[in-house]
Formats: sequence, structure tokens, C-alpha cells
Amino acid sequence: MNIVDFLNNQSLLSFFVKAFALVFSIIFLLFTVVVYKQTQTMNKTLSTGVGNVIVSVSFLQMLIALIIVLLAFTII
Amino acid sequence: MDKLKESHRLLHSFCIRPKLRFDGQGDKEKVLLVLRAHPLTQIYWLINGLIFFSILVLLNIVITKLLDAYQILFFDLFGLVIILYYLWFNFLSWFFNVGIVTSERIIDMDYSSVLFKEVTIAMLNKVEDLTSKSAGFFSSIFDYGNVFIQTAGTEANIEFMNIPRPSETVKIINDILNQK
Repeated sequence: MNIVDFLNNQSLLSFFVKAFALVFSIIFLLFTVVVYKQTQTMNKTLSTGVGNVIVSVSFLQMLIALIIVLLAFTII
Repeated sequence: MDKLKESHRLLHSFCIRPKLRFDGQGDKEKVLLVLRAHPLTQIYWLINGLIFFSILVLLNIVITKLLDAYQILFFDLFGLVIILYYLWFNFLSWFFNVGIVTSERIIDMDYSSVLFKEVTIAMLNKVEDLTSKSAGFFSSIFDYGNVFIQTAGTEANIEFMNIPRPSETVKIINDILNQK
């Protein structure tokens, strides 16, 4: 099987795409959780007027990462 | 010290008497100066973000032939979120890496890659020597550089890297020291 046939093998390609999407979206979710917790800690260490906005944006990123994981499980 | 009026310059990278509190701040301790890296030194991650976005757009041309519509939609969304996250991560790194000069001490808070924290504190009465260093084409034009604060004895030395107005910073710290 040459590389073109290999890439055109849709079921094999779909399997790799699904595996890639799942693995990386879960890693990304874990990373956003860690950064969200760290943002809370940093905000406690240094309290500025925009602290709540910063924590909210980090929380929003975590929610988006969760949606991406769900999308990876469902539509891909 | 009383001459210092509240001001926020260069996208909050040079703040005099900001309304800010930090962990471990004493009741009578006043924050006089807060320093972050000059915004110009952060431009590299904005450029990187644009490059990554261009790569994502170019990748779309290739993957349209290989993937179906849902898969393309997912990868575009995932790619865009990763790029935005990269920008946000760098912003956090810039925002929380601060140098603080208070009425009692000098503090250097460093968060390398957001995840690792290092706080260096030097009492004002232990400060022995202040040096400002500005070298290079851009640092001369945009007036940014490093400030080195040497302390007596075993106390840690403090370095404020790529901060705006290094000479003015040294002058302000000197004024504070003279009034002590």
C-alpha cells in the first residue's frame, strides 16, 4: 500500500483523527484546569482590580476545553 | 515618597502608587511602585500567535481533501482555542511577573511558565547598591532595561528585567531610601 492509498483509507484515517482528537483534547482540558487553579493562586498572591476578570477568563477557557472534549467524543 | 502621585503608564507596566495588595503585605506597608516587563518585549508572542493562525489557515487547504466537514470544524475550533490559550498563557505570565517597591521592602515575583513561583524579598534598609542597565537599539529608543538591586549580607539580590524607565525606577528607589 503506498502513501496515497494509506491516506485515502477513510476508516483508518478516521480512527487516527478520533484518537488524536481525544488524547489532545483531554490533555488540553487537564492543562486548563491546572492553569485555572494557578490563576486563582496568583490572584490571591497579587490582588489587582481586574482579578475577577482574569479568573473568569481562565474559567471560560476551562469550559471551552470541556466542550472540545465532548465534541471529540461525539461528532468526530 | 509623598511626591509620588498615582499613575499607570505603558499598559500598566510602570505603576506608581497603584491600588494593589499582595500576599503578606503589612498593615502600614504602602505599595509605591509596581513594575512589569515593557510591553514591547512581549510583542514576540503576539507575532507568534499571528504565525500560528496563518499556519492554521494554510492547514485548512490541505485537510479539506482528507477530512470530512465535522472533523475540519473540530480541528479549526481546537486550533483556534489552542492559539487563544497560548496568548492568554503569555499574558498571565506577563501580568503576574511583577516587581514591587513598598515603603518597607522590594519584592520580585516571578512565575516562570505560570506554573513555577519564585518570590524574592529584600528589606529597604539592606539595599546597598542600585544599578540600571539599558543596552541595545530598541531599549534605547523605547527606554527599557534592567535594574539590579544589591543587598547586604546573605539577602538575595533582586533583578527587574526589561522594565520601562530603568533610570527613573532607580531614582524613585533612591528617593525612598534617602527618606528612610
